[in-house]
Amino acid sequence: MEILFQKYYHRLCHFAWQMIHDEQISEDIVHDAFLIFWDNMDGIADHEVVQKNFLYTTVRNACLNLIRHEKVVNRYQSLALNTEYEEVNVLNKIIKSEVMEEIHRIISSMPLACQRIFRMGYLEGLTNLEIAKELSISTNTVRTQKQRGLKILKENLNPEFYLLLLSCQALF
Amino acid sequence: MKSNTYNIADLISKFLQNSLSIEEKEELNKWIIEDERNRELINSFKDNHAIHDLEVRKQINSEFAWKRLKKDRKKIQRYRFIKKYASVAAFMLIALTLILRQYDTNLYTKDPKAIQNIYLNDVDPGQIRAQLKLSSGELINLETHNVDIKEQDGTQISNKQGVLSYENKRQNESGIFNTLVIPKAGTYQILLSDGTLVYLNSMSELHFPTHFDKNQRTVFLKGEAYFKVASDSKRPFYVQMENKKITVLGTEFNVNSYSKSSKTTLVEGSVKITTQAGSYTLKPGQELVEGKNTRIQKADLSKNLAWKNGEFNFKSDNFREVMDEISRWYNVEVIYPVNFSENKGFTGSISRKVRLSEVLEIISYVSNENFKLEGNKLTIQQH
Repeated sequence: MEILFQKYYHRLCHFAWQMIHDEQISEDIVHDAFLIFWDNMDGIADHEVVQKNFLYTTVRNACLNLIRHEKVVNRYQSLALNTEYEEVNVLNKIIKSEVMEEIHRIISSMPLACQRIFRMGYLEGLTNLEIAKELSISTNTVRTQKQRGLKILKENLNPEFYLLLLSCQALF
Repeated sequence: MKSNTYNIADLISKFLQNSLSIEEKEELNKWIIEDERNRELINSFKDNHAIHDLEVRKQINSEFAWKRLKKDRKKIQRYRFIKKYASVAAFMLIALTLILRQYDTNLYTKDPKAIQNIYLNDVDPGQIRAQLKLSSGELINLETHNVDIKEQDGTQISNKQGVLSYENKRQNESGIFNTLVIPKAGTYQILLSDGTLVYLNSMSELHFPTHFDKNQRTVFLKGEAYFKVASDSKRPFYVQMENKKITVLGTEFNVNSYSKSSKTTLVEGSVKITTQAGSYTLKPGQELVEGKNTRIQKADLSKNLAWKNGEFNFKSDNFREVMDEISRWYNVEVIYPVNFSENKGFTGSISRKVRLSEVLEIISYVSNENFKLEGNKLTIQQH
């Protein structure tokens, strides 16, 4: 169960967050979904797609209920709940969460030293000399690491994806 | 969940890593042109659009979440264990009592305890009272305000003897909204601009426009109300509630929605109720009971409409349900003793127009519970 939890927790929280835009409540919703899943585990096939369907559906329904309640509380504002209910929108949100998980994996698999130097060089704008000083390595090493990082990028990633990578301070 | 969903996610991931085969590229392109939103999704991964997403993901601590999940699960299992054995214990206790009764019929008499209710004061029953909130936000106390009101859009509102009447023949766009708020120990009637009459019970709210547009008539309700909807085949009448919507076609019905086990009763005509659990159409004399298993059944009209006719009508109601109604009509706070439990079904009818002490005497006698009434606090005494 723990393995399953660690595997799906992040993406489900991201999915819930896409729907309700509240990190805290998203985690609560996913927490509840896992409790339900745990109870029903025996009746759910031990197959990734089946498990993900169950979890995404449970989370989706909880989010929709929350949205609906919020709208009523907002003094009967809009009865147009349609956009949230439309299947395409929900499916695309699931796709996004799944891909985000993959992106995270790609980035995390870059060698750690690379990641660090990448961040310092491209994001913090330190010169090779400054980086070398900070990490107590030679400027040559810095240059090599940078090259290696770029090589990994070029080889493995779509160029359109570079900017996302480079701008992402959160990951490094 | 379309079976395609995870496949597309996989294709997109491959796209980002520049590792799509020719067939896969085609497949992905096919999906992209299917819907404009699909194209938007692909674009959202480019450049730095997805940064916020990644940051959100980073904030989440899954180890901590796992610990929390384990803890909660243990709690739930413990609770279930106790519940399971508590009912067994209760059953055995009852069985034991019944066995003992067989042997001690002389000693066992139905001797009602001397009723020791304490009344430090009495409480008047509910009255005709309500507040009207105009579109401007202004609150008008209808009990004291008997003068006619004119709303911003020219609607004439008259207030006489517990009936609020709206006069506006227009049908262009929907009118501005007012809210009729019934407090505890209150009740009121309202005649809407289309001729629909609504009776409202304590702790209810009706949110409605000064006039309806030409296509439909929609009002919003919280609590309990009895509707006499004016016939207008061109404009269906809708009652929107927190978790359901009632579609009406010229008819009389009652909605009781104080708790999760909501009840809608049809007297005459036809209604359709759309809830999370599905859509239900009622025939006259039927009721829809929502809750654990939502179902349509034959209604006890005298019971469900009793409030409108000035009575309490209990039929196998449990003690708490009875107390809830008392609490609303007399505006008292009911305080239960610790570990309070009872399993009696109450049946009987009492007038709503009497003072609280009289009602309590009857309930006390039937239930063997003793009350203490102080101010507006009604305490059920510990045995």
